[in-house]
Amino acid sequence: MPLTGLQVFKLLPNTNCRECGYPTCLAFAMKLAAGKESLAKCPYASPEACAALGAASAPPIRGVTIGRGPRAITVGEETVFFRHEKTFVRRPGLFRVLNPAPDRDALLDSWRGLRLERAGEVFQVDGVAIPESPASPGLAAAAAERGFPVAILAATPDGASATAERIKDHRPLLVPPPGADLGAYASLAARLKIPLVVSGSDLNALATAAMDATRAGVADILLEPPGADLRGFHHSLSAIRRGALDRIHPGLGHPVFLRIAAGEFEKAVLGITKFASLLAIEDHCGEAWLPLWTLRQNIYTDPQKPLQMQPGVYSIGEPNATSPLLVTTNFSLTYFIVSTELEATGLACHLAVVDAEGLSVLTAWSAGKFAGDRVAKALRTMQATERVSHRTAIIPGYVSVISGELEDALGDGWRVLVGPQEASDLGPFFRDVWQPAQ
Amino acid sequence: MSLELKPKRWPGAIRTVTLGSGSRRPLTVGGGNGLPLHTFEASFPHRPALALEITDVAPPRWIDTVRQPWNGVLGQPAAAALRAVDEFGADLVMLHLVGTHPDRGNRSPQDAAADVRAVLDSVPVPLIVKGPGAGPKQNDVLARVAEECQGEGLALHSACQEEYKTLAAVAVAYGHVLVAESPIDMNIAKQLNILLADASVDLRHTLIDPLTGGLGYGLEYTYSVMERIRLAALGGDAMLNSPMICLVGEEAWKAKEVKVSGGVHWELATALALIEAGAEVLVLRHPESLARLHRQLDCCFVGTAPGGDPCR
Amino acid sequence: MSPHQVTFSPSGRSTVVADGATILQAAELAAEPISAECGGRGACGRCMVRILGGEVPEYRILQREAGFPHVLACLTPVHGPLTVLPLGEAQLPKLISRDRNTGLAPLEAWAPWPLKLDPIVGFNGEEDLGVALDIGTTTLRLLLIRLSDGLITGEAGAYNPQIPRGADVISRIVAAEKGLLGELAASVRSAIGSMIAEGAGQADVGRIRGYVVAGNVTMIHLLLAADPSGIRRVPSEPRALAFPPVDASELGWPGGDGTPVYSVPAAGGWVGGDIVAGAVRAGFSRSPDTMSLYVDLGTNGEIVLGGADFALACACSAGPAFEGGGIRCGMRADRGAADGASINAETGAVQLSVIGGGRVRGVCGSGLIALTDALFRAGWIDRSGQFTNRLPAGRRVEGKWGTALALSEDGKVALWERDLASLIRAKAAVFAGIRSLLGALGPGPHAIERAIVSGNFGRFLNLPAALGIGLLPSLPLGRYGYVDNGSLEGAALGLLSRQFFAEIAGYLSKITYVDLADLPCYMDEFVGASFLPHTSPELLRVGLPLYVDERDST
Repeated sequence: MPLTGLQVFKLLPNTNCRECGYPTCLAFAMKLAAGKESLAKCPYASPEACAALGAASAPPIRGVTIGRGPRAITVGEETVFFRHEKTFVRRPGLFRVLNPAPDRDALLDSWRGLRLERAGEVFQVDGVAIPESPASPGLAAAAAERGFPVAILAATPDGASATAERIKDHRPLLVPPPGADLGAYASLAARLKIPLVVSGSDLNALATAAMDATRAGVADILLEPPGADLRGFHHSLSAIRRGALDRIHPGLGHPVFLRIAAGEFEKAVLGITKFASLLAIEDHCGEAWLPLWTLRQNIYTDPQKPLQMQPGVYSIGEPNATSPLLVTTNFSLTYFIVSTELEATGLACHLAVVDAEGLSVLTAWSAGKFAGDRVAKALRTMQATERVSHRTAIIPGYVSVISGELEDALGDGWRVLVGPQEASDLGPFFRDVWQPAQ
Repeated sequence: MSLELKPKRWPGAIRTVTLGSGSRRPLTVGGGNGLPLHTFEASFPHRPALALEITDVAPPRWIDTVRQPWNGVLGQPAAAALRAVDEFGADLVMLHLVGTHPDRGNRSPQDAAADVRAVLDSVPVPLIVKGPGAGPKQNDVLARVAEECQGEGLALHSACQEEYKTLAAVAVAYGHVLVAESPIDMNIAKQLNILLADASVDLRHTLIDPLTGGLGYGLEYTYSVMERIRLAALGGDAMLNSPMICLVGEEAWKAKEVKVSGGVHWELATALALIEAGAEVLVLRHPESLARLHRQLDCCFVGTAPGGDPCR
Repeated sequence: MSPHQVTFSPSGRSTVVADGATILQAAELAAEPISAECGGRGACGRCMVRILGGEVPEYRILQREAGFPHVLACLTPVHGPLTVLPLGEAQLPKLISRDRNTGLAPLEAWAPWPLKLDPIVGFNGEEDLGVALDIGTTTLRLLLIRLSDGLITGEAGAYNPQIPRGADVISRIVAAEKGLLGELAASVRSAIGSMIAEGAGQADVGRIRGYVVAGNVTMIHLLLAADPSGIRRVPSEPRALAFPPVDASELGWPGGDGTPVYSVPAAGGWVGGDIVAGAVRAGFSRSPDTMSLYVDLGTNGEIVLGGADFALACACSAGPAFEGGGIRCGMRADRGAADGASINAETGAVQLSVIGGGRVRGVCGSGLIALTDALFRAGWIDRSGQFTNRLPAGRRVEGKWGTALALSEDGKVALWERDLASLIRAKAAVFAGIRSLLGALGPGPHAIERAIVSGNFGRFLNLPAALGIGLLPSLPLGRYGYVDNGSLEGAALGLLSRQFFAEIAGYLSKITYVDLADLPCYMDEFVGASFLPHTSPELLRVGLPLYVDERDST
């Protein structure tokens, strides 16, 4: 169990010397307890303190890196069962299964070029999973050359070896067939120093397999949970996470791997919400990716750090100089809600998103981050004021109080119109207030 | 070294709430004494129930993908309800009185009550009735519906902290279930239940609606508040252990991303994630989402799908 | 554009302003007191005035009464001659003073450990005096103390005259940034000057040999006309935490040449000398291995948790409710203020204890707490502070702000639902602050052995009522102590004992400031505490973990 701020404080010298960069030993202790600082910063920490803190802080789930270069992905290092206890830390990798195909180069190129931006995050194809076939060494090489991390979905030790040897410098993940005898695969992984997936028919067998692989010299292990259906997978995924966090068996302290066949969308949803770290997904219709990436974004957001939009003027529909100009904060949820409602009204408009450090409208205003002068400055910087010929800015109803100061700060004859409190009232607002005023 | 995973035991459990009485086939939800879907260590006498949403008037904002299965019955509540239950297999139905909103038709409380009566006459399953949104119109509409359909055990959606007294009174007087809605805040959910209990509402006839954020549009907030409510309930908090209801369809189909395609996956992902977080009643719009979820629930709670097919 | 004449009724004060200036600006020029708690940003609504003559822009008219338009003075521009009537709320309360500490010896009554009389300033004559001063955001308090024997000879109190420039610290900093620093300094210095004269009575103010001033960081900056803008930066960067003593003559205060004004040093931008003085007065620096709690129920709501080895401090921004501010019938603890209440639910009788007896003129902080508790116990308000139908019809007042409980016979002194909401918000902020500080130490339980509450309440704090509404944690009552004004008492002790003053300076480095905005649990705690007595009453017993840890359940 991690130590509390007070417990850590009692291990420190309590001289408030400030050499760690904090004003008091207690302030430093609270950061240490939260895992946000390292004891190394205190030049006067006793050996007892180092020992106590060291023991309490080794992560229950190891980190494993797959691939090399800029697209290498590290998974694991999780510390909680519920995201609200703190946060989930390492986004699971969503690998795409690549079957042999004549246009494999074009396909890989299009995957590499795939980039979707959402709320400040870029969705990409994280890696490629290659099922064993005579073509797999070539496919694996083609994928690895393009920088993709590769997972080898092996069927036989020889086939696995052929592919793994070919791309061994790219640190591929070796995935034996489910239920296979791990011996040969473990030796291969140990020899090539690549990560290995182990499996077992039940939790006991799984944990044992992990220990065996470790003994065989494999440094990085992922666990493939047993299960035949959603119920079974839910059980094993939950049990593995709980077992790892409670340190019940060292064989459970590894990230989790899941195979998703075509049509197994629900299993993928379960995997993303329930602790899988790497999913190899077969998706024929292509419709699974966006919802899965978005789900991952949602679940893996730090509950304490709101997602922020890039400040700027966003167009809803095709607005022109007479279209309304609305202002809001860069809290992504606010943006999504407001922009969705605006689109539903059918009226093209400009939505100026102001940097309020990701806070919602009311919170930002209370913290002084949505005051008249700040908003005016932001609108001028992003040249929102130049986009419209009328000089009216519409602000959210909850911050009607800033209308006066915003008008003053904008100057130049600008008027501020107070919009509705709820985004869902934007339609009636346009109809009853904006249109008649035009 | 062998593995010993102790099952987790909790001092509390989720209340059981029965929807539908009188001429309805009753449907009970809740009763679980463990974390959602943790059938390996807890017992769940009832599984989550899946509802389909129908509307009193043709819904202007439903996109093509979700309108298509309802072709011919949009805005015809009795016919839509029949299709929902007989063809699509919904466990229950939610009638959304969109047309009673002052800006969307301003239909009267009498019209609303007639629509509800038509649905009740058309299908035997329990009915959730959703009003036009908190305020005097909703109070009038739901009060009238409650009175005219007394004894049917309707679920009235919804009471909130600012507006609960009228609905509390009619729910108690006419034998209905009250949905208590809070804005993704566990404290407010609890406060509302306390206020309802103080107003003589029996919490065994209430559901909690924590306010659903769709996938990509606030899902994680709802997800975490539901996990926390579930934990409080299992920890013994009797003011937070009502079963939770999520209006998934309404939220999921608002997403920009589904305008062209992918809507069913979007709705499915939202619904499944919220089942894992503790949803006991889910209101969907697309029958395919419902069918797929039914298969998964059959699997999770029974072991095999109907017909013995292996589940995915 | 020619300037315009603005005349105020009924005072008759008038001035001439440039076209486009606001009515509030005209009021300031004319020295017509108009309240502007939000600093003139159109947020508080307190500056509403009636236009008796002249034209104002249509879009600024909020409503009409008897044909006369009502507008907000701070937002309404003057484009022609006007006659203006400030409405009730806009008028500022007058200076008031009390007489309860006179004759007391602080070193005997307030010292947390035995202190010798050893004043921080030198003196010659037997009648030489020192002044201890607490400059609060809402209230000013002053004590005149004879240096030869350490007895209090006079006292005075008043509302802080800076309030029209902003009810809270941030608004005043913003006002200073807009060029009003000189005016803010002048107004508070002048008010204190008046208080000195009032407190001295017949005594000779020339006898004053020195001052010790305690206040939050912003108040000290404004007093000394030091630029406060750095205080509200993140991280907070005040001009100084410890200012060197200044000569009283620089502030316009009496005393011979070389009469120093010491200000108690602060521990951080948001932990002022007032709080440190109060905590040391409460014995923190001499309590090793004990967890003590110090709560200042003032506008900024500072809380200190700890003891001799360490202390955590935060400011929970409770607002002025505890000092009667922002409450329609609120007033300082003075003659005519209700400071206690009891309700007989069966007979519907409401009994108020009024300071000085007689007719009730308003309610002070402790009265508000007592009333809220009594109303809740009687079932006349529900857990969210709204009146229920058990409120007797004879006591019920309905008005444009909703429903109120009549406190006076004529119903003019009444407690409105929105006032209850303000009080509940204030108490929620404090309780959430306490829970958050405990949480910052890590999961408990943490036993609080002593709790000292400081506030400008008056004669006493109704502790059972404070616990009953969930303002303070449910510790055994014996662990609680009440201090009328910890900052003032600490300043007095600092004046009379060099050792005490040095102890304050020595304790500063032990204090760790926690910004509640950085604690994700704070908002959650705040919403949870916004209920009577709490959404989850078991949390009133401090020491429980903040979240149900699922690993704790087996």
